Amino acid sequence: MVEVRLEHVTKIFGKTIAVNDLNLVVRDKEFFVLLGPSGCGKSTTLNIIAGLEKPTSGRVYFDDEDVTFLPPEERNIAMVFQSYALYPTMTAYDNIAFPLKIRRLLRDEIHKRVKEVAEMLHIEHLLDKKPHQMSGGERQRVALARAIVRQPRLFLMDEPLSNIDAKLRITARTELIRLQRKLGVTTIYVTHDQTEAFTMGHRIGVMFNGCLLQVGDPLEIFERPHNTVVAGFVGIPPMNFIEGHIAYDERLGKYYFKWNEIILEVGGDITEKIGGHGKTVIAGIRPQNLQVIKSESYSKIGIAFKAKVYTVERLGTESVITVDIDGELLRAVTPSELTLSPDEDVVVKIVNPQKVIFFNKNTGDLIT
Amino acid sequence: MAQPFPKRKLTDERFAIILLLPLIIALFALNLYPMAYSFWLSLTNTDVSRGISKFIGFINYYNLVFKDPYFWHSLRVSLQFTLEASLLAVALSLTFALILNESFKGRRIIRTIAILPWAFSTYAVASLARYLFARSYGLFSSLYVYLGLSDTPVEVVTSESAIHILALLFAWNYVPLGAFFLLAQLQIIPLDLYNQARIDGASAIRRLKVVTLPFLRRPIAIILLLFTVFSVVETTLIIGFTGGGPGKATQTLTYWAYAKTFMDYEYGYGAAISWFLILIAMALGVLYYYVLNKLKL
Ligand SMILES: Nc1ncnc2c1ncn2[C@@H]1O[C@H](COP(=O)(O)OP(=O)(O)OP(=O)(O)O)[C@@H](O)[C@H]1O
Ligand SMILES: [Mg+2]
Repeated sequence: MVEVRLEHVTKIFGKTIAVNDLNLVVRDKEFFVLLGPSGCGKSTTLNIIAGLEKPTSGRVYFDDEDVTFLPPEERNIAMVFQSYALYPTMTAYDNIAFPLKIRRLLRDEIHKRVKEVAEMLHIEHLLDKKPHQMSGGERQRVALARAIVRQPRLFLMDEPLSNIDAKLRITARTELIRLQRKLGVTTIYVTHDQTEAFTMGHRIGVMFNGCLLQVGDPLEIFERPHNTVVAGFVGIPPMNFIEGHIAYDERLGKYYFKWNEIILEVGGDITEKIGGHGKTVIAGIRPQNLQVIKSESYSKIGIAFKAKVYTVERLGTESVITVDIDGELLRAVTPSELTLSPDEDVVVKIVNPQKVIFFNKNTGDLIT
Repeated sequence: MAQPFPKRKLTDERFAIILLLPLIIALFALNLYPMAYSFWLSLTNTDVSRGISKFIGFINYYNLVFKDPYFWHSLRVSLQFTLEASLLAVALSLTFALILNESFKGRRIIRTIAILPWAFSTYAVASLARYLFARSYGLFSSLYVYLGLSDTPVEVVTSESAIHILALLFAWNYVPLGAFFLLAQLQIIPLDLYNQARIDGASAIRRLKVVTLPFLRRPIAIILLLFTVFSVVETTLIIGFTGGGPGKATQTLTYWAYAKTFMDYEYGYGAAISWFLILIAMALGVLYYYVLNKLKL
């Protein structure tokens, strides 16, 4: 429908820089997710795209049209708010019909289109109800229907699923994806929930403190985060960071990352960028890439090191084990069948050494 | 060893009654007793200046409705004043609340200034008005002369205009109360609703209608009720400004009751007028209750 382009967009409220020099292209028909912690400027960015806020500086384009100062009603967009923002005195039907009434569509046409979306979202039975007579999930659907009924060129959604319970959220997620793929309307979706971001987005933009730190598809963000901030924010539980140094083995002619008992081979190109032998570097290891093995069943294959169990958190089918290595705490994810208790001696193995990534100690940037 | 069963416990209800007792006594002494006494008076021909006081039944009420031409005149004046003053005050309250709710430079100062009339006692308002509207040296009279609309000082307060000026003064005095009450309501309207309405393409007037007003229906009804009651019983302003005049142009029932009682010393007749007022106030209350319920506010 439309490609959205933000160029050097900055928004300052008094002393807060809510959005800081943000550059972004959201492709046509894409489901783009803006992910970031609370207060990082996601809503502000979305409001600027909607035209509800004017940027302090920078430009917003829809395709090649400069819409920076175009009022929201002229942008032909629809928005779904976290609060759903249903008009409290109107029935669901009137809420959905409202944008069409404003556009002075004919009664029959309005009726036809409201019925159509109501059917699509299975809310025919709600049409006569007022917002206060509906549950959170039902309101969410009505708000969604009101957005869809206009056939806009862009959907903006600000945490539309955060007010409904976990189970319903999963169904709503699937449905929203299905709907977006079917309608093919460019969608920008704001959330602080990474599960939502990873399951829904074609691409994800990670925001922090008003800055867009990285844009990429879910796998890219997960496996090759541009810096320690993104790496630490993305993934549950968060990535393990260990600070070690580069050592050169003259006999084998190879470089290694060394920390405690961990010795990992590092490519020459990475070593070069760090500055060679003796330099410190941060290794990032996903908890999913660490395997905890009981000491007795350990056979020396692959890269492994001794550790002591610190805590065990059971999360259903998986457990998060925090292990202690010389006072440094690392997290690992294991199947729940493995019964471990605190202070037990274990062996921790790096499942796939290729997936360990390295960051510059000073800048925090990924070394590639 | 079993605990002895506690004999006298200070239950929540008892404690509440003890706390309320002074208020109940005060209410009785200050409200109920005078009301009962004034009802008794209304059934007598008590006249302090003539030194008589005899039980005469409902004669006062009969005379009031069927014999006294001033009664119907005062009732009409009362209704006109109430209608004008309360509607004007509500309309202005709404206007001011909407203006003060907008964000603009110096809003805090304007808000502070706007609440000032509320700090004026009604009597001060009346005295101020006397000066402003006086014939020989008043501001408005001088303005007429200054603008060349008249060669000589004019009487601004005439028997036609007096009631409107009173309504205006009443509104001026009470609008801050209404405006700030509505303003408090305006502030709880979620911003998302306005944003949604803008995205839906609603004009400013449409947004006022579909977003703002639904939130204000109940508070508007409340201040309308409040202003109606206040204006029905308003005496200070009339005593201080027009004294019921010119002629009897601004003689409301309330003012008349006051004049009969405290200027003519006809306590019995004055009390009967007051009880008529109470009937009117009660009728209005029932009417409001009915209308509010009907509107599901
Ligand atoms: N109208 C405003 N006036 C002043 N500061 C604002 C305003 N709107 C947002 N801010 C500030 O800008 C920053 C970004 O706010 P924003 O609402 O965009 O965050 P967010 O990422 O949407 O957070 P959340 O996930 O909690 O909704 C915050 O520090 C906030 O306090
Ligand atoms: Mg937000």
